[in-house]
Order: sequence, then structure tokens, then C-alpha cells
Amino acid sequence: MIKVNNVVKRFGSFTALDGVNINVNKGSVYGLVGPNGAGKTTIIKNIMGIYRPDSGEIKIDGENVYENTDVKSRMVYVSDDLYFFPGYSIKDMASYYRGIYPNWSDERFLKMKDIFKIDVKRNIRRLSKGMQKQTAFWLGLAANPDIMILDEPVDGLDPVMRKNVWNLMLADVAEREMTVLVSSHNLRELEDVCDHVGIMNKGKVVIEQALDDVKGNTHKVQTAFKGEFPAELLASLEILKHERTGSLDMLILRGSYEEIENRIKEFSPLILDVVPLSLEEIFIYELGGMGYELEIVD
Amino acid sequence: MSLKLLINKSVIKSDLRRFWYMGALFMAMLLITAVLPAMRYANVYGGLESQVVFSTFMVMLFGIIIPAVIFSYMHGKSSAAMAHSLPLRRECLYLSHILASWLLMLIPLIVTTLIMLTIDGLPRAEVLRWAGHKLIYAFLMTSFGTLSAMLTGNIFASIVLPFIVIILPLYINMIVYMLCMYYLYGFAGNEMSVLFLYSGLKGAMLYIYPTLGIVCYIISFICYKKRAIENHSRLVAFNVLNHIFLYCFALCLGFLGYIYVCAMNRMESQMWVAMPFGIIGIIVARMLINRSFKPGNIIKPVIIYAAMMFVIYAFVGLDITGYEKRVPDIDDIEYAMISEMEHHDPYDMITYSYAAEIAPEADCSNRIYEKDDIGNLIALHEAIASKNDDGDSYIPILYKLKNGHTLKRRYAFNKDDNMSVLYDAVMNTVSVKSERFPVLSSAAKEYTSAQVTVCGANSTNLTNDQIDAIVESIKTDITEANYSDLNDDTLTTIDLTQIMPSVDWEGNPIKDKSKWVSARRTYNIHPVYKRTIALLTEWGLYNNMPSVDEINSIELRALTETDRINTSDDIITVTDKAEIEKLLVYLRDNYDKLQTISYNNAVVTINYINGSAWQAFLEQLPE
Repeated sequence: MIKVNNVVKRFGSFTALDGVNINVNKGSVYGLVGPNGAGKTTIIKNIMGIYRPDSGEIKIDGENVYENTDVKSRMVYVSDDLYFFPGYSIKDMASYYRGIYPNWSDERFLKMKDIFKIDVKRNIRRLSKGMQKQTAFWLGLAANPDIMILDEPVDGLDPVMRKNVWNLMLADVAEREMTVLVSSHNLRELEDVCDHVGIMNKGKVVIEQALDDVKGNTHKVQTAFKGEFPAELLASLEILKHERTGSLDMLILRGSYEEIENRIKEFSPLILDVVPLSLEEIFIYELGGMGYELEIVD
Repeated sequence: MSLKLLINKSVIKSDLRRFWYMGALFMAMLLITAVLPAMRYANVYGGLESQVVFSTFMVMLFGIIIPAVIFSYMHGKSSAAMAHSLPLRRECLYLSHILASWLLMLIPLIVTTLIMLTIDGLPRAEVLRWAGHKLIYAFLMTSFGTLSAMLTGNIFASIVLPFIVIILPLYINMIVYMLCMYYLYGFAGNEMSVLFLYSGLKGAMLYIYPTLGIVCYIISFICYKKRAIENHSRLVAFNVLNHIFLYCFALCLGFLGYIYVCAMNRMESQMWVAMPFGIIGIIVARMLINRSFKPGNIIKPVIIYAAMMFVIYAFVGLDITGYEKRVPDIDDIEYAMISEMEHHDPYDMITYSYAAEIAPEADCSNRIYEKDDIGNLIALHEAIASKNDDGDSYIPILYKLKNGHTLKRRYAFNKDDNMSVLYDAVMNTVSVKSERFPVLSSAAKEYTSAQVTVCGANSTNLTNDQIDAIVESIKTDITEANYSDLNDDTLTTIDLTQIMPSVDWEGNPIKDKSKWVSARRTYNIHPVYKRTIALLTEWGLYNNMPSVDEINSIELRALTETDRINTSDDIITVTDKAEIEKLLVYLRDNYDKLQTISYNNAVVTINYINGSAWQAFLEQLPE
């Protein structure tokens, strides 16, 4: 549905996006993760048509996004840096969006009042950060978008409200095949909702896969051998990290579970434990291999 | 493209809702600056416009501020992102916001106009003319404000920029004037004056202002389409304009420093004075562009700035345009004048009771049409220009060329023997004398009064017969005198007042002579006015001192020959009646040696030139 093809974006002499490629299928929840300054917000703003790419293209259902009101009328953006008009209440903003989004539903807006439980006459700017976030979701979902683009969406929300918000969005994904692209540092949460993930680093997407494939393709192995660690094993497997503590070796390996297990067994290990990694761990180890490592401070 | 795609009601409503207070403030200012003064309307020259001048300034001020405020969403990161994430094309956002700004300007103007139409005694035509003019100003100013908002990245800059642009032509005009005054010999003012831009809404300006507004709106629309949203909060929203801003800022600040130094020294200076101020300008501009206190490497901009200064210097200092040597060909000249202005006012006081101005045909600007006289002037001009030597003699020259252009020069020069001959040949023509002494172009019957100053303070009105006689004698004296003798010491003065054919505010001739303009000119009577002095002496109006009995004391103050100011605190006071009588005789016989003489409260005060004859006489007086 969303196709980002070789997008480059520069700010002066700084290249924020260096040939980004992203594919988001319809009805999927795509998690965009990466270290600070990787270019996540920049690519999101390009997808939303706020920035114009210096080169490359961004298409939604085969149409260019930039200055395309037909496409943008089906998209809603919930930014991490929210903006509401000064002095406007939730009701006022709803009235504003009603005149802009063709799919706006007053019925849905009123229905969600029971979930968000905020007085619609309150001045939004006087609400807490979390309540403003809720308002943003409330208004966004009331516009019945086909695509929701979220940048740090649940930052500031309490656990109950987070659950509520995700439930609402996932319900739309299930019922209307709404597509969600979410950028977040909360990988544990993303792991529960995303079906696809893209990892960005230094302006490029370095990994883009279905979440199950990503998780199924990287494993943590704890093993021990009689004698020294076999050197042939190092050469035959794709090792992201290797730590030795006494006679115990901890390896982060890329490859399928069966392939890793069979290969290590060839060397008759005394101990062999293969465990799946969380998305957070995969993120840390994958980017560590690209120069973005955990620094140990003495 | 349908109207729905071009304009969004939600955006307009939102702007009106959020910025209604700007419209309300504008309304309040119009009530104060237009409605209240209009309630005291008086039918005077200039009409309603002249009585509600501040309302124009309010229209200009709010015309700039309102679009700046409406488009300020582009200056914030989150507001810009929110606005441009919406399913609205930029032309829709642009047009919707423009419409909102017009409504915030129009509604107060319309309401004010309606209120003014109800004011008793205020002509409807005046009100509607005022409203029409304000609409044009509003259109132009909102276009400036919109363009500024598109080019800049913060609200402060977007409000300040239009005001700078408005005064920029005047500023450049002033700089050009000051540089040319210093560097160009004979410079007499900018021949291409920009003052017409500020002449108000009349004539061609009625079309130029709206056209300029349309052009600004088109350019601002193009800028909005091309603007990168990521440039929010930058001083200049387009990277390509940063260099233009940098050098314009440096030049403006540089020459502002130049003006300051000239004002401190009370004279024009070398233009290199602008260099250090310009370098400061480069540093400040860089800091503003970078949004940091680090200006970065400024060597290259300084070199470019110095090169710009050199180019400017080449135009004025080296006179590569050949301004100084330019003398028109006699065949290209329609007429010439010894004057700096084509239309000027040689009168000391003009009274407009009913009329608007003197009829053009009665204008006393006197023109030299005779080829021989023009030839003399050209010869003098060429001699002065080629010598290029400042001196004490002064002459302004104006040529009206057949192609409609005007060429003006103004020389302070050293008059050598050759130039004296040429100078006298030029200045002794009747045309030239008429420029300074309008009596030469008038008939005696036009004069309604003449006043002779007696004894430096008192004045006597002449009878009608005396007026006719004195006018004729003055005309003869001036015609026969050498021009240089007409700058000699002043013995007494005669004020001649004449009525002039006049026109009303619309330029129609006024038939009723009682409503004509009254113009007064003071004629200094010099020793060369022999006939006039003889007449005045015959009438007892010359060197007519009070009698001894009428005088309690005579005070004598000394002046130097050159600067004509008191050099000494010593005032000689004579109170002895015998000495007063002796002094009176001497004063009558040496009336021409006196600088000024006044008689007040039985005290005669005399400022005299401190010459040897006076010294000899004073020595006769007791201590």
C-alpha cells in the first residue's frame, strides 16, 4: 500500500535519508525502529507529504503522495510533537477536522467519548500531555482513515489508555484493513502489535521483514565445548556477537533454528541452549554490528 | 479546478475565530483615527483625507500584521507539520488564508465607511473616496505582508520586512544623494527621484499600487508552492535568498553607519567609512542566518562586500558615468533656468484664503529661451565644470531638454576673470533677474500694498500712487544694475504684495479676484537702487531718524566685515543729548555704513561695521 522507493532527503549539507526503501502492505501494522537520528521522523514526514523528497518517490496505492488531497484525505498523522490551535476545545478541533476530512464521522467521534472520557469543551492546550495524545487519537480515528502514521504514539499514555488505543486501532485494522505505520522506541510494545518491522540506521532501512521472520532469524545460543571453542564454527555461522565467560560461550547468531542447532551439534558441545530473542535484543545486536553498539562505562 | 479545491471553509472559519481580535483592534483604530476626526470635518483644502491621515497608517500597519499573524503557522515546527499533513493543497491553504486576511481588513473598513456615511455634514463623495483609497492601500499592504510571510521564517521578520521595503527606496535615494554630494562636482539632487512612489493615491499611482499588489500576491503564491516546510523559524525561508539577505543587510548597515558618521561630522564623508559597519553587518547577518552566535568564516563575504563597495565607488567617486562633465548640446535644450527647481516660489509669504494655488500661467519661474543667452550659460557651465574647483561663488543651473528630461547642476566655484565675464553675461539677462525679482515680470497695477521699513523697525504703508511709482523705480533699478551689485549691503527694505491669478482644488481658474492668492516679496534696497532711494528720500522714508527729543539713548554694537556677528560684548551707549545730536547727523550721512538700525522705546540700537571711519568718529566721543 505504502511504497517508498529510494528516497533521499537532505537538510543543507546533512543527508537525513540516503536511499530509503519501505514497503507497507495494506492492513498491516508496520513498526519503524531505529536509533535516535536514524531518520524515522523525516521519512514519516515525507510519507505524509509534509516534506518533499529531494529524489525518489513515495506512493500510496500507486499514487504520489505530495500535494495529493485524494490520498492524504485517507491518511491521519499523529505526531510526537502535537499541535492544536490555541484556545480550541476538542469540540472545536473536531469541527475543524470535519470540514477537512471527507470521511469524518460524528457518530464515531461521539462513540469514542465513552472510551476517552475527556470533556469535549475543555481547552486542549490546558490538558496534560497524555490527554492531548488521547485527543489526537480520538480525532484521528474519528476521521476514519485508511492509513494511520504514528510517531511515538503511546508516549505519555498510561498503560490502560495505551491498551485502549491499540485495541481501537487494531480493531480498525481487522475490520477495515486500516494500515498502520508506527515509529517508536518502545520495542516491547511494538513486538505485541506489529506484524512487520523496519530497522533504520543512518538514513537507510537496514532490515525490513515480517516480525516473525526477524525473530525467527536471529537466536541467542549458550554453549560450552570440551577444550577450546572450535574455530571452524565461527567461520561457518553468521555470528553477530560472541562472548566467552570462562568455558561458557554466548553467541548471537543469524540463521534458522534448525540450521544453527545442527551445525553446533557437529562439534559435540557439552551445553547447547538456543533461545529466541526479543525485538529489543535483536535491535541492539543488529545495530551493534553496524557500529551502533552498547557502550560499557567503567 | 473547482472552488471547493481552492478554498476551504474550515480554514477560513478557523482563521476568523482565532484572529478576530486583530480585526476588532483594527476596527477600534479606525474609529479613533477616522470616525472621530471625521465628526469634526471642515471643508478645507485636502478634504477628508487630510483630516484623517492616521487612518491610512492604521490600514498600512494592520495590512502587514494580519497576514503575518495568519501565516505564522509556517514558522513553527509542529504547526507547520500539522497544517501540511492535512489533505489540503497549498493553493487551497494559501487562498483560504488570504481570504480570511481580507475579511479581517474589509469588515472593519466597511463598517467604518457606513458609520462615516451617517455623519452630518460629511460629503458622501469624500467618504466613498476615502474608502476606495483605503481599500487600495489595504490590498497593497496585505500583499506585502503575505509576501513577507512567505519569504521569512519568523513572525518578527515577516512584520519588519515590509516596513523596510517601504522605506528602502527613500533610504537608497538618500544614500545616493549623500554620496553624489560628496563625490560629484555640481551634483544638484537625484534626477530620478523616487518620491513619486510616496505621492499618494493620485494619477498613475491609482493603477500602480493595485498592480504592485497583484504582482506581490502572485510571487508570494509561487514562493508558497516552492517553500520547504523544514525551513520554519529560519530568518530567510529560502536558502538561495540567504546571500541576498547577507549582502543587502551588510550594505544597509554599512551605509547606515555612513549616515551616522556624516551626521556626527555635519558633512558628507568618504564612502569607505561604510566598510567597518558593513563588516559588522556581515557578522550579524551570518549570526541571524545560522541562528547562532558563531558567524563562521566571513573572509569571502567581506571580500565580496569590499568589491561591491568598489563598484559603487567607481560609479560615484570615479564618475564613470561622466556626470561631472556632462553639458547638454544647445540644440537639445528647450529652455534653461538659473534655479534648482522648475517650479519654485520666489515669494516670502503667500496667503491662500479660498484658492488652492497660483495659476500655472502666473508662475514666476522664469525661463531662458534666447539662444544667445543659453549659449552664454553653456559656456559658463563648461568653464566651471572643466575647472572643478570649489569656491565662494554659487550658481544653480537647470536645463529642460526637448526630450522631456531635466538636467540640473549646482556649483560652488571660484570666479576667475574669464568666469566673471561669462557669469555677468548670464546673470544680467532680464530672464535671470526675473527669477529672483518677480517684480520684473509684473505690472504695477497688480500690487495691492507696499511697506517701507523705516529705521530698521518701523514700517510705513505707501499710497496707491506711491506704489505705482516705487514698483516702476525698483524695476528700472534692477534692470540697469549689474547682478553682483544686487547682493550689496541692504540699506532698507520694501515689502511688495501682489494678488496672483489662482485656481481651486480641482485646478479650475477662479474668476473672483477677491479670492485670489496674495503673495508678498521683500526687496532689499541696495546702494545701486538710486532711483528708489531718491524716491524714498523725497517722501521722507529714507534715513529718517527720530528727533533728539525722541531719543533717550543710542547703543552702538560692533560687527566684523566678514562674519557680521557681534565680536565684542562692549556696547557703547550714548545718552548725552549733545552727543546724540552729533551722532544723528553722522548716522544720516553714513546711513549706508550701518548694518541694522532699530528704534524702540526711545532707544536707537545700531549695529555698524567696525571700520576706520567709525573708529575715528567714536574717538571723538567722550569715554
